[in-house]
Amino acid sequence: MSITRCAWPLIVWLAACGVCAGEPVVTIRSNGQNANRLNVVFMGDGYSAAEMVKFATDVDILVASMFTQQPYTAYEPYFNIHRVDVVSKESGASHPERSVKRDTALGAAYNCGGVQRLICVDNAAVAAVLSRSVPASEQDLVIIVVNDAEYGGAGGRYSIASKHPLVVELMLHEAGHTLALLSDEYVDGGPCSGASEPSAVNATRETGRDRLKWSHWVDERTPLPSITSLAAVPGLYAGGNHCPELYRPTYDSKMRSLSRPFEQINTEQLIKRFYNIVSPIDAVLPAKPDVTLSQGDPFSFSVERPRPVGFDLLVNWTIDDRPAGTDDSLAFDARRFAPGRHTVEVTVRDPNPAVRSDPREALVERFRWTVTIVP
Amino acid sequence: MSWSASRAAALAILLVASVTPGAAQQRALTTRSFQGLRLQVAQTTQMRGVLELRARWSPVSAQQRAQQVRDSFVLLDQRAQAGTLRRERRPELSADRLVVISVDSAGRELDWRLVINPRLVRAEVPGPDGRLSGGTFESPADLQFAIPDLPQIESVDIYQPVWTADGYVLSPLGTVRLTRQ
Repeated sequence: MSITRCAWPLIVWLAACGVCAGEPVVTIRSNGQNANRLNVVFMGDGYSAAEMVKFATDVDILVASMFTQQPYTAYEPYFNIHRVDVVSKESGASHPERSVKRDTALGAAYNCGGVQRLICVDNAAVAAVLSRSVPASEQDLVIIVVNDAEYGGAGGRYSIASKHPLVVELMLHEAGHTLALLSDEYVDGGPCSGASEPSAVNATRETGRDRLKWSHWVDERTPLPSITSLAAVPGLYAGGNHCPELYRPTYDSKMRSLSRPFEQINTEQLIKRFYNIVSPIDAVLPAKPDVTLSQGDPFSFSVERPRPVGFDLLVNWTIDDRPAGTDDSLAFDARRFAPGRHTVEVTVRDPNPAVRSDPREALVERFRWTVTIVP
Repeated sequence: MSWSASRAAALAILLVASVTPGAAQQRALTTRSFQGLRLQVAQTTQMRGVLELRARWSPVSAQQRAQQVRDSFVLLDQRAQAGTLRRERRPELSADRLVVISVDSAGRELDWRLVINPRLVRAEVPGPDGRLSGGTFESPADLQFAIPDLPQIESVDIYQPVWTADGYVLSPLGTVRLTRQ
């Protein structure tokens, strides 16, 4: 076979792969394996080739702002942040209301659907870039930064944010929907569906103290419904989820107004939803659950865990269901145990008091080994 | 990082939806509970890779939907990627999610995933005091999602969670049929 004939398949493959060459991806914050982290992907639109440094700076500013707010500050090590350097032919965004058209990679345009501050993008173009550049399992939150200073953005499958200073707040609000499944806590807009109890943890039509979803946060002296306008006082406040007849848990929060904290109930839900993706256990050694030891063998089990800021996850070891240690590793002296089967279990738990109710144990992970000791 | 490996493994294949009727296409989808789905079908972690799918989604009218007419999903793109999909530790539904269930030729359900409904766009704006207003509207969008690359998967059923007094139920929207070489 000639060299030319040998090369044909390669040439065809390379030609086909011209469409699958991905955009450059830079991981700007790496806190562990992507498989056990929340992966946030920033893409830019309306940044020309000469503006890639500016794009990087804009993303850095957004990321820094994001992690100044709780619970993101405490759980920053649970996030990996990736930047996809998408180059546009022209700088800026389209403004059809002013007959301004920009040729950008993702087609960002204001005045979407006649709403001036709503920016829409070409979803197919975004999907194509993501498909080429970022594995599907590493797109927990996709944020598109639009190179335009006028306030604008959108939420949904992709969060879209202009460079207006307030937009980081909108970005966090939208992440409240996307990551934490929180509802809006304002009344305007719609649709209102107040006929039945809503699914979101931060909206209710219940007025009974004991039946309240967030009763574990409500002080018994707080009157229900609640009328104070003080911040961070969980109670029952009229209006929420686009319905005047529903109630929200605090007077104000980021799910109601920008530049406010999330407050207790939403913070609790955000943390639990972080743990929908991130396990409190990064890795264990040995990785397999079955271990066979000779009676004289010294052996060590160990666990790796994420490191939140300001507190530690709690580690508890048991051997045959008896407490055996609280460190990251456990020395196992096989001489002290009779031949046969034994169990070693490690439990890692997040003790953050910001979560008061966790019936599904999102903040807990266990790993159990069966240890067979042979004489 | 692993992404360069994924890119190297990726080979886009433009596909046209198969029109051959099969067992999966003929199955009648019915409303079901999410809890029941989770009891019957586990999210698999064993996969040779990931299939990224893109389908053109043409919804029917509310009137047609009431008459059991399903949305149309036409496969536009099917791309095999390296890697695996993660299992959600404590999955929760919301109205802005879709449930996609991978099915084999015998109608057996092999895996399910939650994906964000790409047709829902939130338009929210603050007033002078920061108070938000706005809402959600629907916008045309292709449905793009990833499933485990299991050789026996022939189609993917799409369900919309609908909130009821008894919790979420899964209302069938339609089926994406894969093309297997």
